[in-house]
Amino acid sequence: MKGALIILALVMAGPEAADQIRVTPLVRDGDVLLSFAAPGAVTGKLREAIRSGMVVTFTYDIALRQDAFLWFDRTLAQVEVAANVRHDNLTRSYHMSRMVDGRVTLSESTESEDRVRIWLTEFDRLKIFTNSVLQPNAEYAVDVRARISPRVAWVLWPWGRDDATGQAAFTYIR
Amino acid sequence: MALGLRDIGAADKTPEPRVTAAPPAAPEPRKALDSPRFLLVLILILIAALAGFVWMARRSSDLSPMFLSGVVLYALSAIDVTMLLVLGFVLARNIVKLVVERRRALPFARFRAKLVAALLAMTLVPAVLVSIIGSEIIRESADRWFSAPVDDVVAGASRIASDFYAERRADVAARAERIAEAMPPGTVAAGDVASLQARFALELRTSRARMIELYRLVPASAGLAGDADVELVVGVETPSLPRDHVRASAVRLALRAATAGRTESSEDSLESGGMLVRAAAPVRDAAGRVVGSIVAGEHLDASIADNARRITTAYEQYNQAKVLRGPLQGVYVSFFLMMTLVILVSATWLGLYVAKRITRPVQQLAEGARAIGAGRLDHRIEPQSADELGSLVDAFNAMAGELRGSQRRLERSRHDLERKHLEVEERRRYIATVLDRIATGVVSMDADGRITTINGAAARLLEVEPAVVGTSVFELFEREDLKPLRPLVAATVDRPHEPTAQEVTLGREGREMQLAAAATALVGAGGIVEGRVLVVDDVTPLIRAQRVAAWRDVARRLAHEIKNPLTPIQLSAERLKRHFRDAPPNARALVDECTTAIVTEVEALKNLVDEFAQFARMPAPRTVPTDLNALVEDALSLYAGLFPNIALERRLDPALPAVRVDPEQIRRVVINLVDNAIEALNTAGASGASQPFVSLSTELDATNNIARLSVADNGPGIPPEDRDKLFMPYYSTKLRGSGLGLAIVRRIVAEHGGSIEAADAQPRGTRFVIELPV
Repeated sequence: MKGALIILALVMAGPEAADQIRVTPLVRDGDVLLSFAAPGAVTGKLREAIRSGMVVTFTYDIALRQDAFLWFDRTLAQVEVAANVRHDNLTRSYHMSRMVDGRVTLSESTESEDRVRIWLTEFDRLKIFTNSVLQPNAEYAVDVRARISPRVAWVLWPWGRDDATGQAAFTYIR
Repeated sequence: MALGLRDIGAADKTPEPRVTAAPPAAPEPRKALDSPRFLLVLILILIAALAGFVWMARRSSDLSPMFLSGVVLYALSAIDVTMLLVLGFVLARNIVKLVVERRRALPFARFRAKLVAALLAMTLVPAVLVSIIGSEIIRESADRWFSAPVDDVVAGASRIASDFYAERRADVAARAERIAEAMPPGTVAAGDVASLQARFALELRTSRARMIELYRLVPASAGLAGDADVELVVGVETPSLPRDHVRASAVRLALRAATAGRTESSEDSLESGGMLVRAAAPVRDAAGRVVGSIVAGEHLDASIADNARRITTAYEQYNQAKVLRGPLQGVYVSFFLMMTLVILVSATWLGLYVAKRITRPVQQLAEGARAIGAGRLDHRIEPQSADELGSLVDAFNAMAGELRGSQRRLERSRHDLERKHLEVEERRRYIATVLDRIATGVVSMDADGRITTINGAAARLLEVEPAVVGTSVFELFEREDLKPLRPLVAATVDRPHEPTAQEVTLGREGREMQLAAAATALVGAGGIVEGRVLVVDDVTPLIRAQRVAAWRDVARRLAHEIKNPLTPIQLSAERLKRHFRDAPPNARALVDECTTAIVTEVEALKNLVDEFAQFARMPAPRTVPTDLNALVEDALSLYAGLFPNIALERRLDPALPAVRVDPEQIRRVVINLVDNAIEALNTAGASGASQPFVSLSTELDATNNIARLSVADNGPGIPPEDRDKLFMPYYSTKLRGSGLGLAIVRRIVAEHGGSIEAADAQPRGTRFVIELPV
């Protein structure tokens, strides 16, 4: 009976509400610098997963959009930013790397868990959009959707949910 | 048209629409889902899928938790959701179908639903129970796998390995720091390699270190990133150190320690086995500035390093499985759920299939029976199996085939009957048309004497309406003018085997109509009277012609026999008159009176004989196209001014075309009729107070292609009883008439193919109407 209740709960339970990503676009000297952070993304369960030595990856799908009248927003550019970490339990160190569209841009080793959290969840002033797609004095929006792998919880319907989302609008001034 | 014949026509019912033989209906094709081959393939696929699942379950321990939770779990979830949808669809479809079939009162709907429900219930409970129990066992087993003692053992082992490693690293770091601190100021700058080598060799001999290197901090060379670089001053290593360690790693470590100003350490796995643990400590001058770095290294034996790594890997795998316990449980639960769904879907499908296999042949038989009952004898049922139901289907198809054959034979017979009926009908129409066209009247009666048919000639001759069909002929012949026919028909009742024939005379508006009538009974097989037929023929013109021919013969004989003695009589009378010319006056007066009377009467007799001769020698007309109006005008011009008290009127149709007649003979006809009218008017005067007149008119009857010439007067008229005799020779109402005028007129008109009739003029008088073909 207990098992049946668990199955029922698993079937009935939908995905948890997506956590929020704080997105801060910054226009400076004609460049768009994007900072975002998902402060609540590294949960205790995820911390256990990191400590277990598996590769934990945070993948952020970033889209630059522009409103369209009575229609879906127009996507001007899309970038995939990923940060992963692997903990070596023998040396008690964390090996981390960051990638943009599949290219490794940074790597680092640390023994600090706090540094790992920041590495995975906080990105500061990334210049990821070229100015050529932007028009001066126009309104834009940046969508950031985060996916975390591996999933450490199980639901019957494992598709179609982002682990965290965030959005911010800005005016491109040049 | 023989209207009376229509009652026969009433039997001429329109043939029923011909039933066209439809092509034999093809048996309902077997659905692909019912194909044994398809079912076999489906079962094989199902078995293969189950074998694959079992294999995967057994291999699950070999698969990484990441793969299980990241790939297998997704695949199983997709399969579960798909099967749930399939099961829901199949159940919903059959529920809807059941509702519809029940509303339509289709047979076996409840049976099918019950069968499916029974199979589903039979499989649902054990399948769900197995699923629940299996999931519970999995959960309990997982809890047992990750129990506290196991946690402690695995964590302890890992901690030992990492502590050993940390201890070695700390030891190497301490040694590097001690050597760095022991370096005299200026040693790095002096670069006394020999003394440094000796010093480092001594260190190697007295410690566990396997290599010691001194690096000098130098400014970065052009083209290199960073602010500083290091260069090797001196390096010493024991012979036991594997040669495959990478110096570049030591250089990076030395630079990192020199630039950071603190001890740094690193580990390099060697290809030859084991691990090289290095530590770098900054070397400072007297002022405390970092001028270089000492790198010390200790080689961990391969067995120790591998064991430590193995322990760590096991610990990590254990922890990973523990962290992914939820998804891994999900894999197994999904697997059980999938098996449950496979069983449920299979049970549902099996129920439907078995129900269909059972009910379909019976349903097809029921539908086939309905189709056969509705006349679709080409309906066939495809045998679904070779069992008893298949035999039943075969018997049904054989029965339908027999019925179809019988129907075809009936169709052929019906077509033959229809053809014969059409032939009879054609013949009947032909006879009816002939009867309708002939001048002989035919009346048929049934055995009771009721009229069944009467053709147009009979209706016209007997002056009866077509509605007499159905009435008794004996009642009809009670009519005064038809009474002479009654004995004739009655004779067929008394003597059915003897046909009777008789000439009868019927009165028609004062005239007599001579009919040759014959009646006979229709005796069928066995001597039973089935009906009677009365045939009447108008022989009046024939008798009249016979009379005229007889009179012409008489006239010719009279002319011949009378005219011959007239001339001697006349000559004798004139001779007597001349002989007694000298006799006494009294005697002479007597002789003159007698001889004059004799000559006068002889002259009159001669004229009479001439007319007789003319009647007998009437020449054939020489017809030419003639303007009838001009001919009438010409004839009337002869009377201009002769009879001032009689008005001669004319109404001539200007549209009258030329008529092909003999002008002389027709002129004679007109003159004769006008003479008769004038004489009648002069003798009896006009009726009433009106002025006497003779009216001539012409008109064209375009419908019948007839030119009609009428001569009418307003005299006293002719009694109806005398009208039929008017045209007979030697019949005259005039005191001095020969009685041949109208006979000649009639003959001339008849010779032209026309007819003449006498009738009453309106309001009074006589009207002669001549009709000539145009």
